[in-house]
Amino acid sequence: MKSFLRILKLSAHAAALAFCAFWLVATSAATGPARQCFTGLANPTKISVYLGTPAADQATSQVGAPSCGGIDGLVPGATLIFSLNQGPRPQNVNSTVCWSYDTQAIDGVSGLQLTPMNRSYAQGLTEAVGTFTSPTMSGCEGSWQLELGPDMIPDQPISLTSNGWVLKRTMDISDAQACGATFTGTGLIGCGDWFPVVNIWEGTP
Amino acid sequence: MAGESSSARVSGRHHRSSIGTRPRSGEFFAPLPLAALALIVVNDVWLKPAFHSALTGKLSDIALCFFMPLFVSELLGILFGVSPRARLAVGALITTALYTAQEIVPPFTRFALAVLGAVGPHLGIHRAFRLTSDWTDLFCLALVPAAVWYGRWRLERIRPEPAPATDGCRTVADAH
Repeated sequence: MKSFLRILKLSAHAAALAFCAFWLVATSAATGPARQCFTGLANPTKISVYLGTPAADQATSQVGAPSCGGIDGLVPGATLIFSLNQGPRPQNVNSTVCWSYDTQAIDGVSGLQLTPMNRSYAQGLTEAVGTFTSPTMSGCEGSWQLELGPDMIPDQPISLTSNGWVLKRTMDISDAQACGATFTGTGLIGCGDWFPVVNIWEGTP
Repeated sequence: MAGESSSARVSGRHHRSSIGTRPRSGEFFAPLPLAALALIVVNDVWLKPAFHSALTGKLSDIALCFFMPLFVSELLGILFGVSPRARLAVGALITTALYTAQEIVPPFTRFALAVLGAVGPHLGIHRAFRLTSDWTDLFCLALVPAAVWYGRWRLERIRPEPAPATDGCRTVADAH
């Protein structure tokens, strides 16, 4: 009886350790419907985004990579126009993500070929991925990712008039030297910019 | 005196302050850490989807900051026989470093998501992984010292297996 209890305790102990290890991973992937984070937007819609100036220390404090230097046209003062639509509400995703809009096209970015992402969930209003090929510098190309949303995921649905919107764009350039004097390194290099959004509104300029 | 001490050891009466006797486990497989683990499961599976709020957002973090130092510590004890004091400190350090970096260092958050994305499918988790970055979550780190204190308290209460009689005789003999 004593040895049976001992084996039972050892088994429970091992199971608790294994389950804990599993849940440390699973806790970041809990299921649930995507949250309703945004309100007041038509579907489909077009929104315009006017970019502000990134913080001087964004490379270390926010992006973790050097600036992309505007090689795709994303510079302070630029206005981007997003064509968006929203699919059905995702039911089996991490319940902290938002029911987002899928980017169909972006005007104002040069050399971008978007990859369709029809999933309707994201950390913010929309996420977009694609490939960048510089129209002016041969061989300056790589992958391209963008996130647009509030800097904090809100508890209650918000509209475009709320404050604190940011646009984050990152790229992985396959050959830094092909991009002229934009980067100091060589070969594969990651870059990014974290633009505060000065103004965002539904419609076109 | 030596004889009294040895007989007390054999009878197990004086083992309460025995963090120095190096039990290899016991800090995680205990009521409070297991309750914290249960809390994170209940919160993730039921409470978050039902009542998404700032409170449910923090509950999992609170639970995690309590049981993770003890979990890491117990693994270090079982796998490597690290002493209680050292492994509790390492568990606290690892938890604090990982949790802080995940909350406020975007490159680490991306790295963590990449790791989770690689490990998840091997555990049968095929959904997207997401980590929220919110510096106010760092308040939950106050639970880390509490976990260390609890771990030490637990380990001090654990009585080691009674020493074999021959050991006891040898000790008495040695003492004389």
